Amino acid sequence: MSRRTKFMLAPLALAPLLLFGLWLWREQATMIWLSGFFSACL
Amino acid sequence: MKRPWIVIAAAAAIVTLAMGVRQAFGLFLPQMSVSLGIGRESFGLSIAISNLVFGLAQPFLGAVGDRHGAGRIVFFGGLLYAAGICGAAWVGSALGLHLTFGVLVGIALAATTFVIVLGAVGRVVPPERRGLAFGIVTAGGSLGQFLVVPVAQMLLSELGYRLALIALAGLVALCALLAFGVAGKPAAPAGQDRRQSLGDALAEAAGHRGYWLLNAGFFVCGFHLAFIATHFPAYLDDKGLGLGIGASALALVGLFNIFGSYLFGLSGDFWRMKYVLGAIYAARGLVIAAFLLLPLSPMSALVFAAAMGFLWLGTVPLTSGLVGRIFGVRYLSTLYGIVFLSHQIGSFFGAWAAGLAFDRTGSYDTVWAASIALALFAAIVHLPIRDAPVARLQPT
Repeated sequence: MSRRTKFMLAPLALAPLLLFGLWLWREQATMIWLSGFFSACL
Repeated sequence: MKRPWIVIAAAAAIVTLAMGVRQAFGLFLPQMSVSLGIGRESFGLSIAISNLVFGLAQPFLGAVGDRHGAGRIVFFGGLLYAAGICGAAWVGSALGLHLTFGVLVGIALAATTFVIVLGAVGRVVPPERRGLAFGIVTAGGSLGQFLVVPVAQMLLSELGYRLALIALAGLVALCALLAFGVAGKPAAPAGQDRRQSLGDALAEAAGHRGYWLLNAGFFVCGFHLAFIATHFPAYLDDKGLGLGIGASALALVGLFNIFGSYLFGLSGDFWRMKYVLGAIYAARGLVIAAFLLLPLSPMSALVFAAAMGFLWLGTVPLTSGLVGRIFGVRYLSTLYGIVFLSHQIGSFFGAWAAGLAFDRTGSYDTVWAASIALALFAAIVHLPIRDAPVARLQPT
């Protein structure tokens, strides 16, 4: 595997953290939406 | 000099916390506006003040960071951030919220986010690795947005807004500890750099057409992000799509933003940054046009969110990297701080003008059209940028 490919794939090392993040979003998504989050998150 | 990986890791952790907590403020709107009896407009004004102060303070704090190092600025910013959030937990009026969430947090954001820490990172990594390093740090900010928002919502649901804010204050106070990772006075400049004062650096940038073009491009970036983040859910709601789609879209923006920030940063080490930047803006225009032309469905909204998320903050490592490449890293935080101010002004117009246009015309059509036109404009203005280092930095 080339050096460039290794660099490109490096973020996959975060996979467990990203899966945890997705689970958190699944748990909280509706509440986050209802909070009007979009309108004040800039 | 510190090991580069320590500085990069500390910088990424700092922006993960600072950007993540910042993005969670919107969650507190319903509870706080009811509890304080201030209405959503006042709460929104506090956030708007925060964004304005964030942009206005950035060049000044950047200049201090360039002179004295990022460590002190981040240390001070972490404590101020925590103080601002704790203050917001205890205030009982709109004015108090404006001063805490607005002014204190706005200054703290300018002290703990990209402009300051990228300056520190730029000084310890070699130019050929700067894209990768900036990409990692920017991805940290994206990761924070992705992870902290649902955690904050969980805290809010379990603890109520005051205790949840205190918990978030504890989180951002960690920035003060992490500041030691980016601490260290910038090394004494060598050669031609030695004679350059801050005024000289500003004059040099002001006389470089490319610097103005970068400002124009980053204005467009701010416009796009603010318009979509503020008005996209309302657009989906107007079109009859359900709540779940909006929330899923938000998560996808956050998730794909992590990959985009990293990969576009990395790409700056392999390709000319101005072309990658131009491609990002052109891609935004194409994605928006395709989204509008194709029939609207839950799937098209999710694909649009993922694509825009991928293109979301990829501009940060490339724009800051280009400033560093052309003008050197000695005044990087100052010069990039000014470009960031353009971004914040674009954000203001993206959020405000889109609302105004909707009120006048009853639809977002003109703003979508303006977004595509601005994307093409930004794609084109990056092409003529002279991206070679200025003569002062050329080997003699």
